[in-house]
Amino acid sequence: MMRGINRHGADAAGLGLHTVLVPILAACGALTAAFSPPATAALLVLLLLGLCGWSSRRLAGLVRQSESERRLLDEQLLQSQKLAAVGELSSGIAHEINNPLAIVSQEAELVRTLLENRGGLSPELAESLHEIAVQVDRGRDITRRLLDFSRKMKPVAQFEALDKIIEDMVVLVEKEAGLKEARVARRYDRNLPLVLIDVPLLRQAVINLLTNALDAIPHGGTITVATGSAGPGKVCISVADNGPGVAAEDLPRIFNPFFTTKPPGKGTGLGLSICHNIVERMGGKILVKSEPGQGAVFTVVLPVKGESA
Amino acid sequence: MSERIRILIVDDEERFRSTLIKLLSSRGMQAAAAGSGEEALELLEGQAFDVILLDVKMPGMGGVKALPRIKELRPEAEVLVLTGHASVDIASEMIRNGAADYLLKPCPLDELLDGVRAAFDRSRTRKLASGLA
Amino acid sequence: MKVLIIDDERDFIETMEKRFRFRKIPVTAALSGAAALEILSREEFDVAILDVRMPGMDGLDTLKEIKKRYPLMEVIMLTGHGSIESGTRGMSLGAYDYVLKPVDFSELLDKVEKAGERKRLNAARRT
Repeated sequence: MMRGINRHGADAAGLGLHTVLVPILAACGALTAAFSPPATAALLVLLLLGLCGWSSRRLAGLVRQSESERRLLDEQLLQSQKLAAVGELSSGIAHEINNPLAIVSQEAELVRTLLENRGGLSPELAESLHEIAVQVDRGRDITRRLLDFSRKMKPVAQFEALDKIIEDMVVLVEKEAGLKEARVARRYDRNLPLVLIDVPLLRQAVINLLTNALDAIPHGGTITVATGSAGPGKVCISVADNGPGVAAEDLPRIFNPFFTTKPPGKGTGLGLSICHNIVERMGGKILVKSEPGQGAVFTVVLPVKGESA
Repeated sequence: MSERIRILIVDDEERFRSTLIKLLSSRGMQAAAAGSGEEALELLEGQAFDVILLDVKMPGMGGVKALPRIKELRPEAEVLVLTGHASVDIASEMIRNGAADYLLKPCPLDELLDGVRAAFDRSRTRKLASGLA
Repeated sequence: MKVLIIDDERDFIETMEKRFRFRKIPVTAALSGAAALEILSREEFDVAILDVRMPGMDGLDTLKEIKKRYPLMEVIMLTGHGSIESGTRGMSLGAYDYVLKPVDFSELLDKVEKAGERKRLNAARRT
């Protein structure tokens, strides 16, 4: 709570103003008034009342501010936990879905075999059976991405330059961006310390953010990637796009697994949730700022020294 | 290739077992099934198989515990793990404990057949090699 | 540190072998995914450099197999084509890095060293 107050213009000195200086002034004022003629005393008392009133109102305002900040942090924590729970739930469901999918696929094969033994399939039947296989494949892709074969391994920390990790992925994305005549602008802060993190894990998060941005921008659009400091011991990465932006009611759900604004079949809606998952595991935070028509900015804040945040 | 491949399916889903038996039989294999690790071990005591398809998540013993016992009983059989459960740790543990491969469900039938035939070829090669030793 | 290069282009492999040897890094070559798995079944390696597009067993399938059997080994994917889709898949399948050809050798060397370091850290954790 103190930190909240500190961050919004009332540092220790500012608090001291209200909790030390004002009472002292008030006391001095009161003493002076006691030894002054009635008119001066009355004036002094009015002044003091004004001063105390102002001070109390300021203090109340600061307390309210820190309360709402604490509420916001609590909400973010709750949201993270919910997302973590949904993520776990999703992998649990993915395990369970694979078995029914396998049975569906086998039954389709059996139908094909039985029909072939009976003298062959009409083109329409063949096409329908093929479609079953295609959709089973689609289901399989989704469950595999969810289960993400390699994600279960514990993070391994190494020192690496942040912009190097990002640039490697940007170069990949740039080729495809060229097809859309889109460009990727870099704003790397060259003065950042090396970060101690799981390098390939961060690459995954970055590539997911870049893919998301690339999908969002129109032909000829721009993606801007930046790195910078986010306070002592923290660095941040931001990926901004000039796409259509995100509607206010969609913002709180944007990191949910399967949430997507794309048409069915295009994209699984898992990229950002995987990103969120990865960033949390690295002890960081991911935030999004967006308004319809104003594009979107995703910011990842990471501790310089691994999962200790 | 006129020799029939003897294949055992170990999986707790009844429908999965029965349909797979039909599909494998229609491809000329001799297929049988067990619904659990315990059942599989009982069956393997009396019968030999060339290839064993082993699921991981089953009530009771489960695939992970069953694998070493299966390899002990029938060391010449090739075990292919076929499961809806995906995890690096389990996959590498199974392979370390003697599984020849780890396949994820749903697995297209063609891929499964390729895997089974390759496993059978390996087991035949090993048998011949040890026969000559 | 032992490096395995898996690529169907002989010219590329020869160039890489020469440059690694010059840096005194032992390197073995495999011309296909299947050949690589055969070598890996006999010898242990720390880092693999793997081309995505190969005839026969393609890069991503090879990566899957390697990660299944030798999860501690780190793999750097190389490609002349750069598709995000396979990049994302490669990374999510456990590749250490995903690099576009033509690669600057000293950059590749740096990545190989970082990958090797990760392998050592991981291996140490498990003992």
